[in-house]
Amino acid sequence: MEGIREIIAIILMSGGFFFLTVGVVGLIRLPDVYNRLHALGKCDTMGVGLIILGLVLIVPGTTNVVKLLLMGALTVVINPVITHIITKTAYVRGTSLAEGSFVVSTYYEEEEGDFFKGEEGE
Amino acid sequence: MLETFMIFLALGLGVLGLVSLYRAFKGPTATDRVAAMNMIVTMVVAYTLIFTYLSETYFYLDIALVFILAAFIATICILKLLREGSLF
Repeated sequence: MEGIREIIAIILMSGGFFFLTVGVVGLIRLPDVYNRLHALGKCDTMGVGLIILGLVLIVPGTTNVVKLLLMGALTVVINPVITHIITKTAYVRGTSLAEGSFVVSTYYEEEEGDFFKGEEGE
Repeated sequence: MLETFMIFLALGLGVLGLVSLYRAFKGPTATDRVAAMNMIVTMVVAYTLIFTYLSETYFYLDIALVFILAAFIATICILKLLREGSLF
């Protein structure tokens, strides 16, 4: 019974490490701050969540398990919020897009006509 | 087998943190650096959890918990400073 639990934990933590690796590769390779945050915001949450799920299976004691689950819940809530705030800050500061990308809809709808600029341009 | 795997996982997380330091060093804008800092914080949290299991000192879980919350507040403060020009 103990061996099965350890094997499942190893599989889960390998998956978490894979997701973290994909996130770091996206952070290094992608051309734009928005693309980088697109890669980072999902892989970060998934990677740490899987590592915490793997640790829950092998850590002894109810208190430690509860602390780990609280940490997982905090990570799942906090990481997308941080990613959204970073992206909105980059947008407000006027960070330029990469080559060939465009904004579909804007945060600030000052004029009605500007909202669907992407479709009316054709 | 499990302990060997965890040691190699910790080494891999250290390598990933060093790789994401490259983006923090070279990033063209300030938000790139904040994103890289967020990634490094994630690596440090995962490393702390693995070190907790390897050394069997389970009060390090509290340190990881506080580290997540402190990094959240620090990131929000940096982004507010970038957006509005002042913290208060």
